[in-house]
Amino acid sequence: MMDTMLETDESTVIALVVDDNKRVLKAKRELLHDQGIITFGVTNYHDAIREFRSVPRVDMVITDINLSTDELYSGKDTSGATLAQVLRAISSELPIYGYSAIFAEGQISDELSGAFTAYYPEGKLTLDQQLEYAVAWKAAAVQHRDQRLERAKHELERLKASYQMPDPNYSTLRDLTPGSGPTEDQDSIEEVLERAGYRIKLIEPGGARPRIDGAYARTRGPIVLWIRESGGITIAEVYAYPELYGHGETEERAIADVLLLMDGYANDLQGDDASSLDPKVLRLRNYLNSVLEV
Amino acid sequence: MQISTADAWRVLRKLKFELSDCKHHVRGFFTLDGKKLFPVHFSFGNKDLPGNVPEKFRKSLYLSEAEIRELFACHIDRLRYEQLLRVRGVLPPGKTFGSKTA
Repeated sequence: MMDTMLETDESTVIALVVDDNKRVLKAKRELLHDQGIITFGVTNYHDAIREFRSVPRVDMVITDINLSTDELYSGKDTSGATLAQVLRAISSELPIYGYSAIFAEGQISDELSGAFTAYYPEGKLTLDQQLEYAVAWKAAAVQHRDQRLERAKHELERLKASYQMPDPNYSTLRDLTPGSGPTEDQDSIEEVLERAGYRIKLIEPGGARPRIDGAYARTRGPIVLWIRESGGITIAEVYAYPELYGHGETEERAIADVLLLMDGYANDLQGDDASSLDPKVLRLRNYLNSVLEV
Repeated sequence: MQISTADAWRVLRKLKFELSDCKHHVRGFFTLDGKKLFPVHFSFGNKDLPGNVPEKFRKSLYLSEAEIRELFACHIDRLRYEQLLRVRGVLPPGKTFGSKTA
């Protein structure tokens, strides 16, 4: 999963498709594939939730309204409408489309249907209708994706600006950045780090991250990382917090390492009273809380 | 200098860092009078800390190269470490001896 964590090609659209009928699922994925959309297909509610949390970025969700109940979880409503409600709680703007292959079975209350961007309870759709909908779905997904990317870029700029002022701790950063050498005080942190061979990497808000309990979560982000090859290994450091660094033989492993470290520190500091923390550590906790879902 | 994960673990315990560990990292905080002052960590997975990680580990402890050699040679204890942190301004000026630890 980590191998795909940061493969965020901005031109792609990623859709999660949910249908308990594998033939219908395959047909839906082919329909979307023909529109140039990358799809992840799952056949039940629980796999959908897990996949949504672990796929780096989902631009839209298309689900059968009448998903069959998983016997393991009998008693719990695992319909597509419930799935839409859960996903809507996570993202208020995510395009979520529901459909029912059988006429009228997909009829649901206004309350439940409210979680969908649109839903189609009228039964089997003609090929022309499906193509028409697929084009509209893609347009909505592209809009959603672009809005997210735009917000991420703004947030990155805001972070950079906030780091430049009012009181960046240049000396600490230089101390902790081997190879940066003597520099003038007026140099920006970016200049210092680039001179030392680092390059910037952004994990967008909503990106998948590993947790120390073995599960995956999504970042509240954005998280800015500085990446540097060093002696055959890759070091990933978190922007604004040079104390937070991870390493691995590949960039993905180094990033996973630093994200695990952040999750660990977030856990360590979660229950502490603010008065028991030095301002520096308190600032670290606030930072972790702002970028991770604790 | 090379630092093994076992040595890193040993010196943090010796300096009475408040430590927690999981499968991937040993994380710790330097704590004085019940207050967490700064973090330090290292990762498992290698016999020796790789690349420039030993350098980062050293700097996260606010020690010079000579001092960290002394530390690994067991010449620096918690009290001496507190003195060094005061000299560097990491700890506020105050009583040097007999300060209450974590």
